[in-house]
Amino acid sequence: MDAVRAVAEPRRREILRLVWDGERSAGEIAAHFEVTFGAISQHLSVLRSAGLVSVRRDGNRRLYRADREALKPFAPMLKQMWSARLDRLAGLAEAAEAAGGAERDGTGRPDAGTREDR
Amino acid sequence: MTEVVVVERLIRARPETVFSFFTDATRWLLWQGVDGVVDARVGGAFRLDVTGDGWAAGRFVEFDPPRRLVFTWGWEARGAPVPPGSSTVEIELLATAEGTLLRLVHRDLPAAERELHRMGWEHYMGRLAARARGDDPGPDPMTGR
Repeated sequence: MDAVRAVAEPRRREILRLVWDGERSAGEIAAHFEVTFGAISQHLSVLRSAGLVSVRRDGNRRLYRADREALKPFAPMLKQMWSARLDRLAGLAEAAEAAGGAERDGTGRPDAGTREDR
Repeated sequence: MTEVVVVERLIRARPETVFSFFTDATRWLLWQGVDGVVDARVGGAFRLDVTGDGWAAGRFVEFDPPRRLVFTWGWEARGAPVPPGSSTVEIELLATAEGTLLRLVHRDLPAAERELHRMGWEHYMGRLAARARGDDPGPDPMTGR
């Protein structure tokens, strides 16, 4: 599973937060949730295969922590945000234009007459 | 060190129509955010609940319908990698034969080594999650031609 789909699940995002600043064992992580240990173990496995957490053996414990390197690309994520929002904006503007609802008063601000705080 | 994000869209609508979605909170929330206030004028402030759990805030630096707007941008969550006032978004609308070329430039972003601490990145994860649910931007009309 890729990283995007891996973090689509809210519980997996919560797990990532738990192990963001330091290592925790699967048991410690599971203690934060109401679901079974098995379910958490499954989530950890997904996060691991997506490369979002790394695991280290300490005796018979397995310690997990977020792989911050994998989560590093800040600008690409922000770019995704703006891309998704501008796609929505484009769709709305094109629909408005096509509907002929874009009659203007010449100011380029169709709502200017209805604003209460001018 | 800072980074810049640039996103362009060719929109089949006139700049006036596109700009109308920036003029107040009701219009703005149609395409970004679930709640918020937008005082769309130079010096005016905005606050937007961009994911339902994270507020972004900023102030309009330029507001020039229907061609250009510039506003500061940041997230209010304590420890967020981009606090309010720290980065700037510039949006330009250029009339073309096909409609409007919208160019968004988000400047002054922290470089990679500083980003995504605990409080801030839930926001981006939420965005990724939305994308994963099918809120896919699809092909970029600017590069798809």
